Amino acid sequence: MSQQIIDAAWAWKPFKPSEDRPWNLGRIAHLYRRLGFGSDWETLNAGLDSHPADLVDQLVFESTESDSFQIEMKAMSRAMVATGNPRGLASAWLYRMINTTNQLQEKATLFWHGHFATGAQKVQDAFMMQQQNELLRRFALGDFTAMVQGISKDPAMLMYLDSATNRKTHPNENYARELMELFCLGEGNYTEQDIRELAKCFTGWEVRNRRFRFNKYQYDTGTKSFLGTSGTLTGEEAVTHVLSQPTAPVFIAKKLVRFFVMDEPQPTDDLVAPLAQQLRDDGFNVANTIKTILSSNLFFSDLAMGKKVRSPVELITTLLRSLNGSTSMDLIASGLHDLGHSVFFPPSVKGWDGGRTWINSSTLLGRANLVHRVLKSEKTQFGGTTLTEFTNAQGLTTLAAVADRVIEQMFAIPIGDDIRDEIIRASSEQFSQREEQLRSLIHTFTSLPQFQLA
Amino acid sequence: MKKLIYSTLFLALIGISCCFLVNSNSRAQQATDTDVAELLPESTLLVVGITDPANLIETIDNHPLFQQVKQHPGYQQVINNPQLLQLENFIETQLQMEWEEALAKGTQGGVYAMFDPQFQGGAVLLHGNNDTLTQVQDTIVGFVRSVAALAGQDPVKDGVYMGIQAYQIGEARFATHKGWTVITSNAEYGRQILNRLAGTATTSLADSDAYKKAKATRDKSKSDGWVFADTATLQNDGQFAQAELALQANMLAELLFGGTLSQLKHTPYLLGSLDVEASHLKLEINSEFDDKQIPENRRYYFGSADDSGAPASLDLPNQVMAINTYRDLGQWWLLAPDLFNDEVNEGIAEADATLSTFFGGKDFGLDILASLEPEIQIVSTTQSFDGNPEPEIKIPSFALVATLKDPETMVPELKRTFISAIGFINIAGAMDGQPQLDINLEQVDGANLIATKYLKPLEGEPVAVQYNFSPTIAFFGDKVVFSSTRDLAVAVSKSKPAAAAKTSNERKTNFEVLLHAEPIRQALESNREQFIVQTMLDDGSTREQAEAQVDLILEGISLAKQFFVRLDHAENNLKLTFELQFKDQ
Repeated sequence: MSQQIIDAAWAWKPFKPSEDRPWNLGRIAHLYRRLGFGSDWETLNAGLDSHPADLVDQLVFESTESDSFQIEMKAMSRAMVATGNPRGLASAWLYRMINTTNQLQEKATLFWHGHFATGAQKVQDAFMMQQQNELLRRFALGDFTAMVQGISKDPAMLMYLDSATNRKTHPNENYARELMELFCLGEGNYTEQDIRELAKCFTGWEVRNRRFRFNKYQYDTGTKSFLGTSGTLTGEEAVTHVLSQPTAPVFIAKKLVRFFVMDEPQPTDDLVAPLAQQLRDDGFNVANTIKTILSSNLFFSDLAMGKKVRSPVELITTLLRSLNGSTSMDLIASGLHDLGHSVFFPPSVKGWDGGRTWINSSTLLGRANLVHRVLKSEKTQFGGTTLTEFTNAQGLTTLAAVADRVIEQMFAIPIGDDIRDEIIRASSEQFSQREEQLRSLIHTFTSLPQFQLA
Repeated sequence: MKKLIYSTLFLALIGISCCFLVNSNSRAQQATDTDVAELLPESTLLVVGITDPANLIETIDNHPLFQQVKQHPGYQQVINNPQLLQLENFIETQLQMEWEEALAKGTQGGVYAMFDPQFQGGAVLLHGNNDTLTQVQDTIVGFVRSVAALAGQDPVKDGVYMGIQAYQIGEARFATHKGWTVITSNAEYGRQILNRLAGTATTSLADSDAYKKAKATRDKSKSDGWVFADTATLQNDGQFAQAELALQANMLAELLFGGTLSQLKHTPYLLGSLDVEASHLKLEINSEFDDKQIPENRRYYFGSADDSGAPASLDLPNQVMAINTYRDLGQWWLLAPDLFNDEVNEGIAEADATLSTFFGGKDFGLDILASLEPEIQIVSTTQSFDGNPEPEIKIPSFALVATLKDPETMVPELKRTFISAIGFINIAGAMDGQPQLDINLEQVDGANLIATKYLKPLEGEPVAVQYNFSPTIAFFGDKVVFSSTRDLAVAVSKSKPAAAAKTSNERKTNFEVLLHAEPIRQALESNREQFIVQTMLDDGSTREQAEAQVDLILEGISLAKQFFVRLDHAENNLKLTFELQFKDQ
């Protein structure tokens, strides 16, 4: 089924289970992988008792983190900021992804982190990077307009785009360009003249002592003309005008569909038109649109299931969350860095390309090695114990039972019986201890090409 | 299966060791018939002896610190290993006695470990009741054989050497004779010991002059354990020459060990004694000392016979650490071409030029370092941050205390340089958006201070790690204090350090490090949140688990009182002491 013939009206209608498209563990696992970082067996099974729309509604609007968990996360962030090393922030965020009870919020924060990509390698300030992360989390499922206004004054972003000083005699065009190209409109929806004029609106916007400051003496009070308007616009008014362009909600809707539904093919304007309209009607409040996406026919169809390449972050967090795992966050952070998915350290202002770019012969090996290091680490536990005890407690007393559970819980596309049997045989013959057999089994399964798709 | 057999043997040996460490409760009667050295070749370099293992283990086992170790999950996992428990039950059944009893009987004459570079091997010797040792040995052999027999294998090789029944399992070889069990991985070294046990060898380590001298000293003490090292063997083996080369490449290592190495070259042996009591754990290592053997280029380390040695410790509140030492830094710097290799000397030349510029054209070695007396102190205390911004990570204050040979000349020089340095820090910091230091001139209790303080951070900003510091220089009398904080500089000034300590007429302290447990615990406690978070991230654990782990360490520290390392010397003795003191229980 090519995308040209996807009916947009069908695509975004709520999914209704039927005989040939039942509401089963596979679809629930798909939902948890996409809106978050996977889930344990009990939670997946509990989902069977809910209607799809109700479950999505609950996960989008009712998930929260306990007060004590939020306090712990704040303390963790504060401690990492105190070290002055932004790399510690990555470990702290990964801890939150793996342990949060509000998965969508963290997944959406990760999405916006890639969208408003800001790299600590250039900002070199843990405090500013953490402040930006908090800003993204605050608006992750909220008002996109407020988020853009906030990010436009965010010290880390301004430092990253060399806009820490922006004088009227030499307006810095970097932020103006990225605001239209990468953040709100996309390529081809503005001109070079628009960039020059928009940049004048941001004159006087500076960073001093790690805070945003408006220097009115450096603000260009003259008339600016861009994107069909003219006037003495301030930076805030300019952002509002950019977001009022008809292409803005289309651009954002396409990015949300790429992130939550499918890497390929690129969604068309027609396909996302209903989502764009919803964004517009909701005043750019993204939560409703995300709910529409996650409860849609398209989301639960074969066009979406197993049609995204797992990012390295998803690969490792899903593995751990699925098996109630815990391990050294520094170990994971360093492995993700090697695989080019170090949060807080995106490769460029464009963020991570994602999709097929995650996979090549080198990264495939790197992914397998990272999983191997995690499984071998003495610090890795499952449900606070060994894999043997964990699987025994789940009633999985044979390698075959564990293999079937892994396939059902963690794979988005089916595995042939011959592959399954071969992995069980190899794990059982290669190792004598059950713990080693189990770890080998999981390592081999997660190294399969099929596991790289979610 | 082979792997299982090796694991079983390993567990058996671990079992013996664990029971040595944990289970023995009876005070053994010490056997004094044969000295262990009579069984060892003359080429033996190192011998470690535990003279009364049962008593030692009882002391350790009853100690509150070990009681805490027992609560650790890792310890519980080892001690409750099912295979280990199975082996223990098997052996107890076979011996018809409890482990505790078997071990007390089997080691009543001591446990010894040794290494011989000539044979590139070592051994462990147990000395006690011959029947018990033989019974334990036979039971272990029987256990391994019975397990292996299930797979139709026999991993135990046996044979008779000099009339002594010997066994080999994997790389481990062992035999029991005349109340001695010999365990070794080196066949030739094992034969050397058995030759002496059988009485067919004519010489032994016990005949060497170095050992005789050491033994004479050792017999006077009532230590729980001892260590003997033959330094002539080390010398012949080229170990000292290698150590010299290492020191030539490392300035700090030379400063710490250079003089000691010079002395060791001229001493025949090293003798250590271990003293374990409920109140302390102490290891003393003694060697001969001869002032005439100190080479000129290492006079900076010991000074002359008239010099006083390291200064006495300062009495400061909340003192975390103190280092008191005698080192003539001026000499050390100026003797660099004789002490260090070309690479280090190139670095010193570069540093010398930069530092001389920093000190306004003065020669850093001749005019600055040589202006300090050799009695140097470094002290560290916890901080209170009363009324000041409190950083997330709290670092103890530290200060260097020295005596100026010519205060009249040096005080203005150091003042000017200190102010320049603060200006430089402010300029460099401003370029990087860092907080700025304010400078104040103060007089406190007769001391002149140039104190600095970081300007308060903006509201809402995290308090950066820099707020641990308020660099200060203080002068009183002929003393100068370079301190990381104003409060510590004031505390040192008020403590009025004495001129130079004369530790005692007989002994001079050359170097000592003292660590005080309670202030260390307080310093760690003030960073508890950081440690908890770091543990959560390191282990992926929950907050509750991380808190329990951190608090266990803090509780462990709270049982200790202080720890010190001290190098001191008398007319013909050089002594290195390590001592961990515990609080009264």
